Amino acid sequence: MSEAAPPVLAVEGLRTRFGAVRAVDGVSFAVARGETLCIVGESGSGKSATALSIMGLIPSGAGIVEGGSILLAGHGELRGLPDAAMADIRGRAMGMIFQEPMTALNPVFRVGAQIAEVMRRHEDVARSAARDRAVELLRLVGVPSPQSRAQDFPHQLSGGMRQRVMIAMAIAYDPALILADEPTTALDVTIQAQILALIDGLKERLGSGIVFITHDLRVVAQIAQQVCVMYAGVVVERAATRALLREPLHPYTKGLMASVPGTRPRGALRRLPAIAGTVPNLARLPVGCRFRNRCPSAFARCAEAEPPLAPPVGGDPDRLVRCWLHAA
Amino acid sequence: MTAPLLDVDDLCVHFPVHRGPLRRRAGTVRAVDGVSLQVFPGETLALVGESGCGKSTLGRAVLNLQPATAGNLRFEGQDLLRLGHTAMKAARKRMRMVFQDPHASLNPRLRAGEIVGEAFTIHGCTRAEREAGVAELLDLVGLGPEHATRFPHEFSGGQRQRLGIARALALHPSFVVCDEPVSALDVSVQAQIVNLLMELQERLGLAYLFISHDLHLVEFIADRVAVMYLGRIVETAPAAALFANPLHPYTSALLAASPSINPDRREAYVAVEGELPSPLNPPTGCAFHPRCPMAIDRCRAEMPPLLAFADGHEARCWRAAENLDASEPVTP
Repeated sequence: MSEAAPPVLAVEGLRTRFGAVRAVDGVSFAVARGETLCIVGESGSGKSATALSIMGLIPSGAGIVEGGSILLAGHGELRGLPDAAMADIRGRAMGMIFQEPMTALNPVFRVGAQIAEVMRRHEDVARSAARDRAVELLRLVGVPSPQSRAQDFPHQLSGGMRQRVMIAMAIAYDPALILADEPTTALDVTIQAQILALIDGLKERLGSGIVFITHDLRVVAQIAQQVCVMYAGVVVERAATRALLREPLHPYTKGLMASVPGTRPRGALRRLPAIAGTVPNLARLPVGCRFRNRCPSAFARCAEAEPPLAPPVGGDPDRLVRCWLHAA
Repeated sequence: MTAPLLDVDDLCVHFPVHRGPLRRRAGTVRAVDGVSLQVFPGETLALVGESGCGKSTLGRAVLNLQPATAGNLRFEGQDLLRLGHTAMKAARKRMRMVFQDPHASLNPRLRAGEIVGEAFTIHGCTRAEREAGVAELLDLVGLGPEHATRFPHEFSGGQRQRLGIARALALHPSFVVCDEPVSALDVSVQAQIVNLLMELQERLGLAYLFISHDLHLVEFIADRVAVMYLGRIVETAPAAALFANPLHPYTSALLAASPSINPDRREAYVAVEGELPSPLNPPTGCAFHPRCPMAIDRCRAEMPPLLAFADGHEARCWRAAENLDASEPVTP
């Protein structure tokens, strides 16, 4: 990506721990304005913990962000900010969209009032003015007849409409950064396509940077400019979307891509190329490369030390891979 | 032509809806409304559609787990809707189900061996038969005999789904309904389970009714596909024909909304407008017409029948023939 514009968000060496489990173990990336960066990984990869760390929502007592820096344009370092200051940034400079809109919305308040509450939390605005703006936001996110929908309770809306309400809340203050954690995973493909188109349109309109967390490489292919592939708490590969999907370098990325049905014609032997084994227990990681126990290309060096995240030797200097096959 | 293993004819599952303090009947949800389909021995029929279209209700109804309101249901030549209790219990050995969520569908208080072996007890097998059966089933799904004494929480998601499959295969069924069996699993584990299901099908000659919303997976796994919309089948065809030449605009919309892993195909990724209408108050005529880019006046007024085209391709659309390259509908 071009280095001209300073990034909206720059994460460097982020480390988050839940007890003995190092859920995020040195994650770095940057997002520019108008850019979508996808963090893709399976359960236990640390992708959601990364998002929660950026938002300052790691529950104290359960976990701790113990290292690294999180720089948000115009606000500086977020790590270590007091809760009150973080609460001001969330919802204003940083919009958040979660996976399950039914649990993220309060079931006993009308959705219009919940959107208005976001505004009343952040500025001194009359209740009626906030309500009017809530209706405007609902119109902006494509909710039909927003005036009457604003009077609905969350359970009266479909999953897609609830997710639109969440998005309306997230964009109330034209945030520079939108963090979306699996926002379409609970939705049907038809509604997923609608919501992804909406998020993409808003990105163009607001010029926000988007960090989009997903487990689905097909979603990545459709929306992202940049991709971080996470495995067991670390980024194993980072590249521009086209470069990554055309020529994945890390054996894990290759395995993930191959196991997606529809990437190759159905052969005589009706089998999907699967990755053997399961995601390792983060409290008992193997020594060396975290993926080596499942890796078809593992060799002696993989057990000795963890490979660094570095440009592939003799390859594209704009991409990074954490694998001894591509390291010096 | 071989006889179908499962023959569903004009099956309906209607749910009454009651409202108000007197619980007056306020309407009917026609979750499954006149569905006919056949599953042949050893084949995979995939059932696809959005949530709320009735695909899971249909999956339960063909196993007679959900009583049908009307219609006919024949399995291995027997009329399931008119079987007595004993005969139904015997038929259940031959038709089983794999559930979506391996966390919710396994009893957390039972050990793996008890979960897999329950069917042997219910059907009066001896303890020795049961123990041999459990060991064989665990081996069949890639688990070891040492797993029999563990509880569900000690397994990973993929292993739990292997247990769910082992349970379904007890007592040699010929037909298994798989209701979204991999959608709760991680991508890399999904492939393992899909492969296991295909391998078992080849070894044991199983027929699957494979319920899924993932069209790419369906294209890979299915021999034939039925597309459901608001309680009815709107298109059915051999998998290759359906994906090469969808005749119903809803099928085309589902395909366009299924993201491709190719980043150069973003132009083709298009969202169909609107959402599934309320099944309490379905649209007149063709249920898809409010969202359909091809809708004409006739679609608003009249429900189209399933029109038959070449090679077992059927579509419930007045304009289906226009989507076909160059042939006329055969008489429905």
